[in-house]
Amino acid sequence: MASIPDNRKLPKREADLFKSILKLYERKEYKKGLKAAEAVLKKFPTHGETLAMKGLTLNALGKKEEAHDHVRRGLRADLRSHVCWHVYGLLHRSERNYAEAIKSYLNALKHEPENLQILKDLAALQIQIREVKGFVETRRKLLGLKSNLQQNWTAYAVANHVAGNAETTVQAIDAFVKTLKGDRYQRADERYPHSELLLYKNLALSDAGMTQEALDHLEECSDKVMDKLGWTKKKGELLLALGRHEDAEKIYRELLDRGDEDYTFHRGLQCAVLKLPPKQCEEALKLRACELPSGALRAAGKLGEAEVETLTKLYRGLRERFEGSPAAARIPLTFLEGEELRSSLDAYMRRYLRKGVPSLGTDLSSVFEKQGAPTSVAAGGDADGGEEKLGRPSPVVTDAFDLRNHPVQQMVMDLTKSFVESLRSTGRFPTAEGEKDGDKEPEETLAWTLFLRAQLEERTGFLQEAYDTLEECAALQPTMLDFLQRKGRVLRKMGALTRAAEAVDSARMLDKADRYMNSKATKYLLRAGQIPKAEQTIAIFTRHEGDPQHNLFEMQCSWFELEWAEAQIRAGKPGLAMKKALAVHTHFEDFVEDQFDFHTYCMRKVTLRSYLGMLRMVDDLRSQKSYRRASALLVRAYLRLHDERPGSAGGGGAAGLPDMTNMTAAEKKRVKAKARRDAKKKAAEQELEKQQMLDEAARQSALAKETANGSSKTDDGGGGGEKKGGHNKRRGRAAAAPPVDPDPLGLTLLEKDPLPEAARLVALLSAHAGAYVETHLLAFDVAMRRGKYLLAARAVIRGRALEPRNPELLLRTIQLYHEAQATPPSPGQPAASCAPADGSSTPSPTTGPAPPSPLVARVLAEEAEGLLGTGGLAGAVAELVRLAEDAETGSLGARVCAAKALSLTAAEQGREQAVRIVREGLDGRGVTVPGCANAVEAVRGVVGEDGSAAVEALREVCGNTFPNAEVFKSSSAQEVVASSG
Amino acid sequence: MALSIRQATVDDLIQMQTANLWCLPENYQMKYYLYHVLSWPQLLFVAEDHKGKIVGYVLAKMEEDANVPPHGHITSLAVLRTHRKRGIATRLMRCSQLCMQESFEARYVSLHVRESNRAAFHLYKTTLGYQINDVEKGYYADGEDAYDMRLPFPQKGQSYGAMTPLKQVVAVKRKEEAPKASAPVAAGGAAVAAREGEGQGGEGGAEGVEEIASSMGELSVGAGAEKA
Repeated sequence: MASIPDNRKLPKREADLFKSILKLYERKEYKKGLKAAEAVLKKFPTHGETLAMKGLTLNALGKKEEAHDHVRRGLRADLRSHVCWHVYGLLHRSERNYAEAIKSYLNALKHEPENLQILKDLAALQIQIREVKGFVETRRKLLGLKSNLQQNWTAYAVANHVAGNAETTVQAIDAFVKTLKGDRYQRADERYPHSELLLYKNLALSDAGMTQEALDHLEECSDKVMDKLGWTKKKGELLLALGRHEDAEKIYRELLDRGDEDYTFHRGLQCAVLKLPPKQCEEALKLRACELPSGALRAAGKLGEAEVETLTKLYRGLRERFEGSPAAARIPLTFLEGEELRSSLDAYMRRYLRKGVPSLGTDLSSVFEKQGAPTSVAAGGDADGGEEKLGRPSPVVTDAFDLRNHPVQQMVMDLTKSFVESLRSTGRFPTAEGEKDGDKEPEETLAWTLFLRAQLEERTGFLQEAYDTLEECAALQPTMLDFLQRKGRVLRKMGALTRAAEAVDSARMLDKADRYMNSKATKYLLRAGQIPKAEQTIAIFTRHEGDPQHNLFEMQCSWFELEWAEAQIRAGKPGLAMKKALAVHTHFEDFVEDQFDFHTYCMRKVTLRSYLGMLRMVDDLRSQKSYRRASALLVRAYLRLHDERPGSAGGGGAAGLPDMTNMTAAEKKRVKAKARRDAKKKAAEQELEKQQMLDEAARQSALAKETANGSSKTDDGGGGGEKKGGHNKRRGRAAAAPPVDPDPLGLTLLEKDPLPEAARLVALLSAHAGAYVETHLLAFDVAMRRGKYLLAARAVIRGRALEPRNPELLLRTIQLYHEAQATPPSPGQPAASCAPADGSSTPSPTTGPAPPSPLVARVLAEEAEGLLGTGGLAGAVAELVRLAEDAETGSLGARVCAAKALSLTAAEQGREQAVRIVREGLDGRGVTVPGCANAVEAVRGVVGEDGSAAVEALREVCGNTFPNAEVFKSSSAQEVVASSG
Repeated sequence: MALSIRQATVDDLIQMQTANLWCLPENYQMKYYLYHVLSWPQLLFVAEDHKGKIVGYVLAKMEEDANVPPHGHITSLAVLRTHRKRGIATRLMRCSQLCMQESFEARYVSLHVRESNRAAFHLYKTTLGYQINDVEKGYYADGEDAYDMRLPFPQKGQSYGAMTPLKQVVAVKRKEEAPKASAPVAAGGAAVAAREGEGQGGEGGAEGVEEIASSMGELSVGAGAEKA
């Protein structure tokens, strides 16, 4: 090391003090550390490293600004100090500013290239932000510097694996194992990590495509692997990959001995007995939940008689081997047909009705798969060497309209009815001719059979019948809260949200110790708009001290936060709703941060297979449902804020008010007059709301105070945990009183410029949740309001790659071309989309989106045939109408889209047709309370003020279909809007 | 039943947390779930319905205390009320128990259960064969007592001579760890780099211990269930 520069040198006393600052910091004795730092600075006010450490200490005490100031001053005073740079890195790191932290660490390394601590920190940051190239390099350096440490080898191996060099991973592990002395298996504390290392190497071998080597390796190390389950699973996979079906069958039968309800084993076993080729096996093993290769083959029309026979025999054998195995009885229901299916269903249903299994209805609902023409996936020779893809099983039918006519549903319903009849008249299940009578069944069996019937009635849309049947159930078993809860669900489907909440809440009262019922009741109360009561209900199960809402946040209770936020949207309080949705986003940011410590921890624990799983999981976090739900709520709220701003163009036909660009002057006048009236009404409402909000603010601040007072008692570990108080290791953030919220009502969110915020959110969704149609719908709606035609086009293109005939996407395609044509390109206009923004490209708020630039217009023209078809815009509208009215593809939702498209493109003439299309869809697919409310609302948008008679007529039909629905009871337009949002 | 009972992966954790929040009053932050699956990946199992929804789970761990034989501990077990009477909990428990023995050579498994929770007690006692080992007064946050229950595992014929050295090794580690356990992780989970010659000399083997100790200190942040 070069000699210490003069400006860094300290006399003995101060040098010791400086060392103590480091120690005190690590011991979290910040106040003492601060004192020591000040003592040094008194004599040496410009000592860089002390300034930096003082800054870091201040940061730990929550003084962010002072911290930055000190660290920066320290750096300026001693730019060549690796300590100063390291501290700067730590400061950034504590603020989760990983990219800046990495820069600082790299600077630190310039002055101290072999500092192990800094290198380790750097490596963790690099993998944290998936800077894989740098990560590999840093781990290589660390291994070079300290090759006697196992974790440096494992980390180097993993780094290469992540970078896609699984072969290097294998070599690194082999090299490391050679350095080991003696047999690790003899040392008990080494057995597990070594076993994990062996299985990790095996994973790397198969990832490197060395399947045979992997299998050989697995055999070699069999006596050293502790994780027998992991070992056997891997062996099965490898055998299938090598096409060794008979050996694989043996392995999967062994696995079933461990767990006969594990569908991953059933998938493997089916692959083996059906002798599927390796590529299809690979696909089959990736199927999810309860999907099976047999289902995929069936969907593709490739499950022939021979296969059915093989499978029938297989499961008969398994039923004998595993007596009472639910899976072995259940799986054949997915491939049998006719009388065989009927008799299997009969036996299956009796068994679970006797046991009184509440989930039987849910279970059977998954047998109702989509029927009809096989959906062959990429049929014929494709790029993968001519081998056919396996594809996926058919989706389950959920629409009531389709279910009514579903042959298997009818079969189940007939059986259920015959059971009810027989149980009622004889107390026994029905017996076939020549069979002896069975035993008398207890009354519960009848109750559970009726319960099943009620579930079938509910699913097929016979809601009143379902309700009545549940009354019968309750009459037989008055204390069975499952029946009462189900009644609540039927009421919710009827649209009777208040009564639904009452029913579920009374079910909750029957078992107050059951948090599940408490959660259900909370959810139903929120759906019914009873927010305070919901808050009180869920608070019964949160910790007793402090603010329950804060406790739910601490425990990352996303489901509640989302339901609460959606309830606040319906209650017209977007600020509160958006705040809560952002809280859900915070949980996801925390999940990302949570990885950090495991980058080093797992290298020592050698749980490397799971570690790789964690990296992948975090990469996909933003596709998680609760993240998407929170994002969608925020984007919609921002769009609404945008549309409601004075002078806003209103967005467009698909999502907002009808587009005015194609209206006559008189129409525009009417719309504007209505807008003025609405504004007045709104002002009055806002006044009222302001008062309510002030009340809410007062309540919240009172709660905050209460919490602050009680905070010494809340210190009982990670959220109640398993163990109460005392031994709590968790101090700091969570145990402290929740920070005082400067904006409890989320008013700052309402004041943000909505479109850029929405654009930021959809950009994240598009990048991470591109597999969902809704992502692209949101992206489109945002892009159009920003006048970004190309982004809008990209959204429909990506969406239609997923679902080519999705009506919402077709409507948006039409909207795109309609608006682009309505505002023809003018050569003088700057580009609206892809060209660099120059300020003038923002659409003027009063005239709607700016016309597309010539370049954009050309791109749109090039895509037109692919997106609209050969018939142009009119042809696309006609096609959407055809799809909406088609018996196979049509639905109320599709009809609503078609109606919107008609009114958009052919305002006057299209209006009548639009209303008719919606009206004629009120007894088909997609007829639910929200579906109907959405339809009424859409028609209101189509016909405008003049057509209120048409709206009323429609509302009446819906009201007759759903006589208990609260949403159709009032003629007030506002109510419909509020409930369908 | 269209219900798959299988080993959990990291991808299941978010849904496991949701199921836990729906069913039980004892909740944990995501990091605590991660800590389980990244420490004892073999011991977590889930029940998944045909839609891919997690309707039941078992979250289990190994107690790594040098003074007692290696044993497993059930941190949390839940099945949605709608999926009762299917034997899901029993199967989840048996799967985890088997893996405790195989992967971690557990001698027994322990758990805590509320005195008032008759259904759970019945499952543990009658179906699974657990015995009451102790009663812990006021164990739960609301003051309720817990039964400390245990299920011994059948011992293999072969005795692990290596067990004693294990204890010693861990005991030594613990000793080293003791003063450092209170040395918490600096903001951001990293100690400040020491100047050359300071603290690095003795790194070698000790580094590992320090690292794991500090990791554990940090990791147990979410660990309400951790016993001191």
